[in-house]
Amino acid sequence: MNARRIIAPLAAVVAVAAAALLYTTHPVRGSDHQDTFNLANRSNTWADITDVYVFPSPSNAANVVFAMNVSPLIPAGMGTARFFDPTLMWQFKISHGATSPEDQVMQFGVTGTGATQTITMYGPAKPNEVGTSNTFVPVSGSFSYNTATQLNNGVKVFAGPRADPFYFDLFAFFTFLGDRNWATHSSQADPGPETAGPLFNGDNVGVPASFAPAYDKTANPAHPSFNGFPAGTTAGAGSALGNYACSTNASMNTLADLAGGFNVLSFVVEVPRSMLTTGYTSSNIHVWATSNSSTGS
Amino acid sequence: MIRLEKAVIWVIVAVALGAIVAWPWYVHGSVVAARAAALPSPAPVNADYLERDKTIAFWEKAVREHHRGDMLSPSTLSALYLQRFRERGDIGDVTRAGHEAEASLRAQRYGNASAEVALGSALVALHRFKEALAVTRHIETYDPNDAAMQIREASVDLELGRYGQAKVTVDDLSRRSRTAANADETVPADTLIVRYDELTGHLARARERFERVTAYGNAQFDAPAQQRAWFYFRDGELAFEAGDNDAAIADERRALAVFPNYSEANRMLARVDCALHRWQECLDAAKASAAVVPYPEVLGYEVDAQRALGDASAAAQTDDLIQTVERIGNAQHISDRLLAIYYSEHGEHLDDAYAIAQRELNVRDDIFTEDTLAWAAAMDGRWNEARIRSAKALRYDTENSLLQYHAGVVALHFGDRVVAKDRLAGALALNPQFHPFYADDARAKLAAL
Repeated sequence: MNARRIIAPLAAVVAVAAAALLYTTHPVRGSDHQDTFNLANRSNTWADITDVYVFPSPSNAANVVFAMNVSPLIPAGMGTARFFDPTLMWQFKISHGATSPEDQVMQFGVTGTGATQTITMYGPAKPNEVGTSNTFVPVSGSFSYNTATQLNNGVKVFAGPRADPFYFDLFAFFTFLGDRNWATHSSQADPGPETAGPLFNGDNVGVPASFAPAYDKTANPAHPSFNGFPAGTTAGAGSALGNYACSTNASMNTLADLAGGFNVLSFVVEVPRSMLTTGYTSSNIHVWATSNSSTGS
Repeated sequence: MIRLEKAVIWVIVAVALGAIVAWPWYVHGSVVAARAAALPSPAPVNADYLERDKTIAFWEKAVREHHRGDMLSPSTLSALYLQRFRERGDIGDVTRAGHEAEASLRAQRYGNASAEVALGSALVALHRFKEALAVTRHIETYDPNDAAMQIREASVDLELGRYGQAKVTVDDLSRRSRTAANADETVPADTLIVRYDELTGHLARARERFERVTAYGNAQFDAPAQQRAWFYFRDGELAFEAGDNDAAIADERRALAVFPNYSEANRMLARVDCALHRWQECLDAAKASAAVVPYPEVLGYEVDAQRALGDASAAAQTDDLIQTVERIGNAQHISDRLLAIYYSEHGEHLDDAYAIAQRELNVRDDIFTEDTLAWAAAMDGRWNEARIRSAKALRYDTENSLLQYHAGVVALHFGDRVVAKDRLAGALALNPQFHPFYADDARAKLAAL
């Protein structure tokens, strides 16, 4: 896995998670679920990074936890049947003091295709190169899919399926803002056929009445419904909310339970603070994550 | 001494001229080698088909929840039904896909391209090509520059025999393909261009381009295994047309390694093995293919292999099964052309074969339907019509042995020895073993000319 690979960007930086001071982290809310043309239509949808989190370890104040969720929209009951794409390199990129470029990276590579996948962590270390084409830095250890492991250097790691923590009412969102015509975008740069149809749902200005979906005719954008369920309703087995992504609360127990919501694959790494600060002039870090393919796609 | 020096000079000049003449081939070879060297290696295979039923169950549940305005669940479910159809051949999945696409369109009538794409795909699978063309054109009314839709429209054009219309798109895509930043982005366009080249007499060019398509199509870990296997299947199909039978067998085996029990790959294996008179291998492959989808073509290979292996009783049973398929398994008429070919080639129900081929012509007027009708007419004694249809089938001089052989036999019937010789020789030049019986017949007829 140390072999030099020609690596080009597949997905650009998807989320900037921790913006300011590491130790006074403010929550950044946002998520990506195949929200761009390339990630929704071109290979590789499994390269999609939904969310990146950085926070102090709840169990050890001397450690910092990094989490990256990828490969979204894994149906309920299939969490443990979805595996990491072994053709990709996953990275946390860290910049000390300045917002860029990265001066430290933690990378993950995967071998195998099923439940016996082995994940190898590289770094934390200075990157061999900055920017979008990267090679692996020195190995810090390997571990098995879906198994929490402590590496020899004191880093704790996990890579495997987890219930998607992201939730919102998608169809209520569509009533006032969502771009329901997402499928008609023909390229990453194409804003869609807004001149020929409704740019926003619930706003059918200029569009023949016959084109307006029944949903738009009856929806009241001023009062998003959340599908009629009160805030706090939990998706999951036995819930009237069912298993759709647009729940009003995080789905529960969805790894093997068909009745839940969606899953993601997660990389979670708990790192001693000293590894992030020793040798750097600033203890303020900026973190983002990338996925890279070896095909340049 | 002077004479010797002159000879040396002339040798040098000859070598230099030879090198100059060979330059284009050298450059071509270098370009091909450079392209081949730059091709990506295959990604590991993700056996997604093992999870298909579970995924579908999830989305069926999502649809049953009837979220207000939910256009996503039914369109997603529709696409999944279509994928399961490609994997298992259950035409019921196509019908279900069509229903779900329509349900999605009820929730969002305008701009719902994913549902319309699914609906168009279902209509193509049902051989309702003209309706599929209408659906695709409707998408283009609100997104006229979408290359993906243009490719779909041109693909349907090829099915309908609208080659002139398809050519406009093919020419445009060829220009864009040359300047595309990422080679993997051109896979759908190149797949269309390959089909057009194959049909219009440029088989070598089609094979060369498709090698690249297959490499990029198989570099995608997240692509369905069946889709990845399809590229190898097509590689094998093109190889067989070009007479590269060993490559065809290797390609089909590669397809089966990526997606086991792939009916299309086993169908092609049966076709090649039967053509090579490897009867037991042919029978095994045909049975494996028919176990998934009992199309008349593979059942026909079974019949041929069983007869060749001396099992007349089994052959008769399989022949009965083909007639059963016609009566109860062909409600959507998607096997019409295959039935007509089987009957014509085996001298059975020749009136029916002709009528079925004529019915198919109402569905699509492509070169293969014209050829099927030509052969059905010839076998039914309607030689004048056979001559007209065969000429239409070969209007692009398609490099297909069977089409060439049919034209040769028709020409021979009318005493046109020059054309007959040209077509029969052409069929054998493309592939000396293009058919289990017709290849030998072509050789015999050619020898008698």
